[in-house]
Amino acid sequence: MSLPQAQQETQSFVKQRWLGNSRRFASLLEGLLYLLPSILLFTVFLFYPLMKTLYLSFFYSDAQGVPLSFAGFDHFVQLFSSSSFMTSMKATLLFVLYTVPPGIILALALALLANEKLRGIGFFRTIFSSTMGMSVAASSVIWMFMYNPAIGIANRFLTWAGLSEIQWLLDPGWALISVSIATIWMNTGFTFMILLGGLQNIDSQLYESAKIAGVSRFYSLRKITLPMLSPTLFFVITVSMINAFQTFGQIDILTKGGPMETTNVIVYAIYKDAFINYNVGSASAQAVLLFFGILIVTLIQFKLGERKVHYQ
Amino acid sequence: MSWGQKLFTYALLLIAAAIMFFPIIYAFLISFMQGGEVLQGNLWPEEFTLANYINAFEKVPLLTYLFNSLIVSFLIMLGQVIFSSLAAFAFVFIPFKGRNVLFFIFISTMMIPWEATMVPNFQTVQMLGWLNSYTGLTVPFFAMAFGTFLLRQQFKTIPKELYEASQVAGISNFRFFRSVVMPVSKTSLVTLGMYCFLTAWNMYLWPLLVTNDEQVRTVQIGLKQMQSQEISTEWGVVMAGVVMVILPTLLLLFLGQKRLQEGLTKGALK
Amino acid sequence: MKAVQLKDIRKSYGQNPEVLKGINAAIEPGEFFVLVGPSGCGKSTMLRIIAGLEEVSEGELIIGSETANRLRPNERDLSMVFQNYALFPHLTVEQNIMFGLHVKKIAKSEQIKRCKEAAEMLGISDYLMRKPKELSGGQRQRVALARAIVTHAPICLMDEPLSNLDAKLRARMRSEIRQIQRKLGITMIYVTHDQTEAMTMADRMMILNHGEVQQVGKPLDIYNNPQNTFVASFIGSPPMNLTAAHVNKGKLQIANKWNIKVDGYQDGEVIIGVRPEAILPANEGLPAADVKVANVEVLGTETLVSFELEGNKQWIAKWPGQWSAEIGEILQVSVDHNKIELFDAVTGERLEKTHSKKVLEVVL
Repeated sequence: MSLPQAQQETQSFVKQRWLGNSRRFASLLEGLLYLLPSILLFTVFLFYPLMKTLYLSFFYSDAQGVPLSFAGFDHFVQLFSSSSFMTSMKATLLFVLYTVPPGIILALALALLANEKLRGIGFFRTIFSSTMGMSVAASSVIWMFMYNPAIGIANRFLTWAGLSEIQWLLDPGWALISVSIATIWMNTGFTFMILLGGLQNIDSQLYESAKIAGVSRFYSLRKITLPMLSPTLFFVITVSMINAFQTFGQIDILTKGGPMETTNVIVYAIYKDAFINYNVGSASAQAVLLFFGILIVTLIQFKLGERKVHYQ
Repeated sequence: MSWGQKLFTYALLLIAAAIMFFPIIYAFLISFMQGGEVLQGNLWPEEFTLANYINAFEKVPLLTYLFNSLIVSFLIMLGQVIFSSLAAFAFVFIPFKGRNVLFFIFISTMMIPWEATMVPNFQTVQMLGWLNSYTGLTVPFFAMAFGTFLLRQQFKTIPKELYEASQVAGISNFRFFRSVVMPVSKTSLVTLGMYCFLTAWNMYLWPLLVTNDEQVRTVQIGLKQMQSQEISTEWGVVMAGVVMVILPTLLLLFLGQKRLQEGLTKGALK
Repeated sequence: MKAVQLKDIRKSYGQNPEVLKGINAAIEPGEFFVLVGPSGCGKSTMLRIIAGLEEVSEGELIIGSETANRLRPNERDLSMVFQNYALFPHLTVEQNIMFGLHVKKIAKSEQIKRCKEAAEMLGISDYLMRKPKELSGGQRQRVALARAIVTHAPICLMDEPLSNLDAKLRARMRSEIRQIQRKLGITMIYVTHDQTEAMTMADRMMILNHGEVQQVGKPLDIYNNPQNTFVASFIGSPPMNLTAAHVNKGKLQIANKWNIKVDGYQDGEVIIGVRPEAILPANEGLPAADVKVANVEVLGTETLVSFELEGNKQWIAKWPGQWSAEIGEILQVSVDHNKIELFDAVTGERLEKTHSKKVLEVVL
């Protein structure tokens, strides 16, 4: 090989290496280009406002939400010493407790029923998932009417059953429960649909081999269905809890946080503070607490889930 | 299953269905009653009348609200499907440094409760002059981590060889996206679209915050308005409104229940 | 018709051990070149590197006369057929065949003409309007071939294209692919794990194992002169019988059954290889030894007889015709001493024949 030729080859090699690097760079640019729309919107409408919320929670602001003076932890201190916030916390946690476990058990029962291979089962599946098509506003209006003390079906049913009537949404002892019942109904459709999907993903050969082994249906439910369904259950529990923390619509229509603030769950409290009382600082502090609350719930879920869930 | 077991299962199914579907049937029945009957607490209308519907359309601009909801839901659906599929495409087919980190950030946005950001978001939209506009109602929701996640799962099932065959043929990435990935994933896109439409149609808090003008108000807020105006007197009219609101989504759900279920489970579980 | 040259090609992913450990080869223009080896040997990686779907870590890849290391796949002037065919499910057969031709700036009428030609050549003209899922496995395979043909690329890469077909169809497609390649005169680089495919189709083949070249050559040369024990056992069906033996003072002792006189080998352990067809029934004047039959498979035109050598070790003999032998029966067999291969006991490398070997005596 002559010298100039070798030189030329080295040059071509250098050029190619450069081409390779620039290609990788181009690939990065191209990837980011596809992601740009989403990144932009996440930044403007999620990351930035999250930071801003954090920021606002440390300031006193005017009615428009313009920060005026540094407040330090004043808003948080105030919150934890206010009985109103404590009521709100209690309402939120109770609401989660009232809606999540019963809601999932109900949906699971329906899904197990609807997983049977029977003629016309499609009809029942559609009925059970129907509340997924129901908006919170419409559902709340219907339940509001059902809870109407004078003409609603709820009290008529109680009378018919020989029980005394209840002031559903107006009784501080019953309001949160009433809202919870309505909420469970609203969420059943979605939860049912996901759980049914999870059930149908279980390999039918597992059941067949259980049948050949001659175990009871209850045994195969406990030993096959539930373990195999655990990833789905895990997902459903996480989503349901997060949803419960974020409840707003049914409160706004059914009770407006009352009576005596017994249904003043956190998102409704934030809404009232920010857009009715114009106390943006306090609202932001509560929003920060909501964020961390959900973060902790999710992290705990994942920590527990790691150990308990059987992935196929 | 033996006959007895079958009968028992059917009985349970029927009872469960009756209870679950009762509130919806109830709303339908009330919407066809005359005012007096409603106040007597009847269950079945003596005579089916459309008076409540006529009334509802006359008293509130229900048609405008329905139209607004349709536009808003459609725009959100379109935006979410397009943005999600673009992002998912990059996450599956374009290898670049930091892709996994970015994906993790995308997924972690699912943990941020939207309500925790609503105050600054309201300020942003106000500053942009987007209050009482379709833009303000829709654009903040275009980016969607769940949709990106769902479509990424779908795109990953596309054989890598299809992409490689395109590379050998010299097809550009965008063309591959447009003429192979999108058509091949039609089913998933439709499922996601349905889900997006449903959630957008049912949105409540954000439209409540950013609209106070009847011209852009969505039907959910219209319903709240009806309910608070008519509450004590005309339940039949309110229920007519309810029926108008739920009819489109119920129909959508009845038509696509199976597909929606399959699509969502796939996304949730893998 | 382009040549492809691999110069010390290496490939590794991150910190993991190398997948390809310095591959050298020169593939001639118009040649049918087969890359063969067990799964995980790196043959597909090799092909994907040539295609440009994977980057080279080290070394040089030359296509035609230019370095191609950094060229995009479509700049390499080649076509590729994938194992799962990579047909676009939403396009018709015709659209699939013409897929991507527009990028090469080929006029629509020319595209259609080429598509018709290719379809005719492969006998799929009747299915042009169908979708891939309406086709059988064999038809899909033909569509994939047609798609490679219409590009008129001088090099065609195939990655296990027949592995999803049943045995009968596979045999037919083997000869069809071979005929098309000859007719078009393209350079074919063909990956397979099936040694029969490699033997029957290749002009030349390269045997890979653990990312290293074991042997390159014409199928028969490799069959007759395997470079090492791996090649010996990989090529040929049933595989070559390999057994440890030792050389003692010019005598090769095999399992206390045969003693063979050899020259030019040092005393010590070796591995001997005997092709099944080199083990003969004892009727040709060669010294024979008694063996016990362990299994008999009569295949119609030939018979495979397994017999016990020593301990659990079995050998297989392949005899033409139909033989009836009972399990446990004692047969007398001989070994064709001219066809015995010797390998190093440690490295497995072939020991070159320097002198003739002779069957000296049979120890009973």
